[in-house]
Formats: sequence, C-alpha cells, structure tokens
Amino acid sequence: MTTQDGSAGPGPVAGSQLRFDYIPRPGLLAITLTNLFFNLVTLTLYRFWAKTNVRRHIWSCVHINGEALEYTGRGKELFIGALIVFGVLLLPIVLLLMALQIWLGPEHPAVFIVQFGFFFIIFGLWGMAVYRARRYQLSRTLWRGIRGALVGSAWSYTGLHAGATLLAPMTLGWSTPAMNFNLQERMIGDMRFGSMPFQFSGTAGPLYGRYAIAWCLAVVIFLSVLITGGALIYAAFGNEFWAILSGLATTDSPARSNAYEDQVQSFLLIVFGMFGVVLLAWLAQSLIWPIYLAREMAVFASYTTFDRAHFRLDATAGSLFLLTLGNVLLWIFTIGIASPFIQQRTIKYMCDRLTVVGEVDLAAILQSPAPVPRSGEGLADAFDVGGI
Amino acid sequence: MDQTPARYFDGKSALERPVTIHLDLHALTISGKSISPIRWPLADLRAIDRPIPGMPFRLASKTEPDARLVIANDAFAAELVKLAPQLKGGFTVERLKRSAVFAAIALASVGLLTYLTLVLAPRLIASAMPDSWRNALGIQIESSFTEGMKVCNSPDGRAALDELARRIRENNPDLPAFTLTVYDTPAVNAFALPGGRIAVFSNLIATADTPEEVAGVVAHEIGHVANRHSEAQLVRAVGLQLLLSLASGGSGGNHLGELASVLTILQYSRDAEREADEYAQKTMTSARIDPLGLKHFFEKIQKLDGDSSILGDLGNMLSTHPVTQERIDAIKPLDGPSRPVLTPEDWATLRKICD
Ligand SMILES: [Zn+2]
Repeated sequence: MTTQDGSAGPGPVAGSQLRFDYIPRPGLLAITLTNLFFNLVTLTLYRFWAKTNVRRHIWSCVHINGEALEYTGRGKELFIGALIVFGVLLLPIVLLLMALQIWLGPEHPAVFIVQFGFFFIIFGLWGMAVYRARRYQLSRTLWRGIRGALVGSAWSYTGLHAGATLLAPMTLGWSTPAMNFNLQERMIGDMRFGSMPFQFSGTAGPLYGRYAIAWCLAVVIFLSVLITGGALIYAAFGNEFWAILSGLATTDSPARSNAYEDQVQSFLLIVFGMFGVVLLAWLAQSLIWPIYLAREMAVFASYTTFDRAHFRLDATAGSLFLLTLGNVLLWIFTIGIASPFIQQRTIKYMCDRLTVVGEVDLAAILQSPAPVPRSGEGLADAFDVGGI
Repeated sequence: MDQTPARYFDGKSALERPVTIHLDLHALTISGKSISPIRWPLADLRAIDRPIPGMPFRLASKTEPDARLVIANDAFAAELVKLAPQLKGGFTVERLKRSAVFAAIALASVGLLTYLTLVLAPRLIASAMPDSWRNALGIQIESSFTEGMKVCNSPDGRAALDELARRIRENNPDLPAFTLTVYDTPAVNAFALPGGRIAVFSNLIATADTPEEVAGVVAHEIGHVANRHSEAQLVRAVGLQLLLSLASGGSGGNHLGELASVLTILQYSRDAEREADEYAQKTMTSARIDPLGLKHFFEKIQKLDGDSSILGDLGNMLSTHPVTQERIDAIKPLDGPSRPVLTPEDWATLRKICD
C-alpha cells in the first residue's frame, strides 16, 4: 500500500501517488462463450447484456492503488437506451420514408431530400453518440465507491464533432490533429471523478511533426500502390484490358463463346490482383498510422492533469502497431468471437503504460453530485460506434 | 475467527479508512478510529465480484449503497459466505428461478411481438389500407420487378385478354377490381400485387394448352387480390425488417432486410395459397369455367420444377406459389356443363399478344 490517507479529516494537504495495474481474473473465456451462445440464440438481442458482462469483468481487473474499478451498468439500461433510440429516431424516420415513397413514388425529390436528411442526422449525431456513451460509462464506473461523471453539454461536443468530420476531407486530413485536440480538450475538461475535475491544457502543435511523417508516408504508399497496380495490370494485359472490359459489357447474350470464358478469367485475374494490392495498401496504412496515433495518445495524456498530478502514457509506434496487428489477427481468426479479449488487450496496454506523476488529495474527492443517467448508449448502439 | 482488519470506503469521499470488522450471526459490524461503528445486516450484503481465494473480496450493503468494504482475509471471507450464502455467486436455486422467470417473460414477449408483426398487423393493416395507397404500392412494386421487361400489348391480343377477364367476371359481381398485364419473359409465372394489379408472364400463356388454364391461374391470382395477400405480405416484410433491425442494431438489420425483398413479398404461405385456390374454384364455378384447366396447369408446373434452374428465381411458379399434390387434389370438376373461356380464334390471338 503506498497510500497514506489513513488519517482522518482535513489536515495539512495530504497527497497520494496513484498507480495503475491490470490484474487479470479468471472467467473471461466463460463470459465470452456464454455471450456467444445467447447472442446466437437471440439474434444478437443479448448483446446489451453481453457487453455488460464483459465490461464488469474487465473493469474489475483494472486496479488503482490495489483497489479495483467497479462497473455498475446493467444490460437492461443499454437495452432500454436502444429501444428509446429505435422508437424516437429510427422508427419515425423509416415510417416517414416509407409513407413518402408510397405517396410520391421512389424517384420523387422529396424522398431524396428526406433520405439525405436522414444521413445528415446520423452524421450530425455521431458526436452525440460518442459523448452520451462516455457519460453513461463514466456514471457506471466506480473506484472506492465514488462515481465518475461527464458534466458538459452533449450538444456543443456534437457540433464540434460534426465540424471536425466536415473539415477533415476539406483539408486533406490536415485539420485532424487540431480538431482531435479540440475534441479531447472538451471531453477531458467535462470529465470528473467524484467532485474532482480533470484538466486538459496544451497546444496541438507538437502533434504535427509526427502527423506530417505519417501523412507523407501514407500518400507515398497510396501513389506507389496506384502506380505498381496500374503497371502490373498494363504489363499483364496491355491494351487488351479495355478490350476485356468492353467485351464483358457487351457480351450479355446467352450464347457464350470460349472467348467469353477467357475474358471472364482475365477479368477475375485483374480483380484478384487489385484485391491483393488493396490488402497490401491496407496493411501498410495500419503500419503507418500508429506512428501518429501513439504520439497523439502520449501527448494527450501529458496534457491531462488531475488535482496535482499529470499523466504519462508511454505509447510507442512499434508497441501500438503490435497491439493493433495482434487485435486484427485475433479478430480475423476467431471471426470476432474473441472481441472481449481484444478489449482486454487494449485496456491492459493502457494500464501497463500509464503512470501518474504527482500527488492527488484523495480526501478532497467527494461523491459525484452529477445526476446519473437512467439508460444509455442507444445512439452508439444504433450507429455501431466503436469502443468497449 | 470472527474479527479481521479490512478497508472501508464510506461512499462520500475517496479516502480509505482502515477498520476492524466483526462478524456475528446477523450482521457485520465495522469499527475504526475515525468512524463510529456501523452495522451491516448479513441479509443486506451484496458481493461486487464473486469471491476468489487470494483476491480481495469486495462487498456492498443496501444500508449504505455507495459504501464499499474490502476483505483481504480468505478465511474470514469464507466464514462470511457461509453465513450469507447470497454472496457466493454462481448458480443458486433462487437465481435460477429468477433467470427462468426472466427467460419466460422474454420468450413470451418475443413470441407476442413476432405474432403481432407477422400475423396480426399484416392482416389488420392490409384490410385497412386505403385504395390510393394500395394502387401506389402496386405500381411501384410492379415497375421495380418488371424493369427491363417488355409489356405485351398487341391490340388484338389485348382484346382477347379483356374478353378472358370479362368471362371470369360473369356471374361474379363481387369480384374485386383488377388489371391484367402480360410481360414478355421466359419465366412461367403470374403475380398478384397490391391494388389488384396482376402480372402474367408470356411463357405462362405459351405453356398453357387451353384458355381455361390461363383463366384458372388468373382466378387464383384474383383470389390473392380479394384476400389482400400481397398487401399483407408487404406489411409482413416491412415488419420483419423492422424487427430484425431492432434485434441486431441499426446497421446489422439492413443487410438482413435486403433479403426480405420482392421475392419474400410474393412468397405466400400454404394457407394463402389454399385460400386463393378456394376462391378460384368458387369463381370458376359461378362463371362456368372448367376448373380442370387449373388442375392440368398445376400438374404441368409440378413437372417443370425439375428444370427450375434455367428459369431463374422468379421463373418458377413453385418458388412463389408452392404447388403441392394436396392443392391439385383439392380442385374439383364442375357439377354441370362448362362454357368455353375463349373461342379458338381468340385463344390463338391471345397467344400472339407479344408479337
Ligand atoms: Zn398463389
């Protein structure tokens, strides 16, 4: 025990060092298999309870100063959250679209306008889904009986998020570090543990060096894939390529000749070749972006303070890449069944590399006065927002 | 051993308070330097996680919902669990009973919801649907699945088709309104769509040997129209899609929903087919049309089933109107004499409607 907070009452400002540990408990495999079974039986309707079981387990493995976190969420709450979003958002829109299609016909501009509006709503509410899911999770996360909380406005975060999403393609991605910084600043600034706020201060500047490296590498890889792919196809088929494509387009009659078979074969070859090239490009991209992401995580942690302590996250590009690669392989080879273990790996990675520098006055942390949301994550479930 | 040191968190601040806990038959008593003794009745205790030897055992109590007690002493924890067996976790009779009740309620609600969506709502909505909706729906569905098909409309052929429709209406004043359209396709099939739109494929006319066979099929489709089967099926498909998207989350349901497409809408249950057959029998009896035509046609279709592969998805009438021996046997001949549906000349003209 490194704590020295046994003394009662407010004396001279007493501080404690904080330490994160991931201490595994047995039982995750049993949870994974139970979840799999019930998800299959219920057409994945069990997923709310499944998610809850996994969180309760993983939370209980995260220890701060030897005291485990506690997850108090219920599957029922997630289920009700999803029902509310379904009834309030999805169902009315689907019914409206259907009614319009019946009245006006599927090609009427009003149908397109409503459809566009629907996508716009989803796009616009994405940040809302992220924010509300975080609020729910924090309100259900206890340490030493004290709840976390997210106390800001979901709408302002939602607006910021929509702006960031719009800016990214307009600036060819160069707005991403600055906007991620703004989003993180807003999120961390709204976070509380009990009565004590987190603070976030710094600038986006230090992110840009790494971003430039990753961005240039990504562009180089993209271009070289494009050029090699094109060259390969040209070398293999020469001018025949267009002939093959146009041949495929016109040969639509039942009388199929041998030439047609040949064309289909060459076409398949091209498709497989392209598939291979895209796969390579994807692998290369997932190699490149950890260069930036590791930097972003570390910088954001160093900008975060809690009482008189600040955080340090020793995330490196190499370790993050290995984590991602392992997770992707685990996902592929178990067709997603092992996702609780993927979550565990990710949380463990953070715990292993997170240190808290400085002291926190634990006696000053009182129970959170923030209201506790009664249901949660409906939007996040509807949009399939990633996360734990 | 009825006493051990433990860690206590009062739920009001994050401060750790070292305490001594004392166990008797009814309660845990928590006492320490900085707090006045607190009594947690054993019946109110709740384990945060299952007790695992070697790991700290975490407890909460209804008395103070936010407070937590952590016991690091395995022997003491074991003794406590003996006195308060609800802390043990895992399967207990009580918990099993609760799960069974929960599962029963869940199953019943799923069953009720499925019944509402797939049986009750389609019937009610289909019969309450205004004609303008039915017509709009029928036009859209027809145009979506006959896209690229030629409409057969030679003036003489059209007149013969109208004559066939008029013959079916003879002595049948209660027949619903319907419109017949022939499409030029190699598939042997016919559909009833919302709003009384009936689509007949040209190869069905070519496969038929007599006008009675075509009239029988059309009468059968009118049976679907009269019972609003396609409207009900449409509501069913939409409901199923909504149900699936509710079950599997926003994005997952849409992929499944795409499967519930036109084919599902046109695929009737055996009950619906029987209803349509009975309607056809009744209609043909009133109009004095020989029902054996329909019988022969069904027999022909049943044999065609073998080469359904060349006909494609919509091509096989069996895929949308399952023909069984039972259905064939149910078709009875007329009591008295029948009158022909078309003259041989009109029949020959109808067969050339696509030229
Ligand atoms: Zn039928």
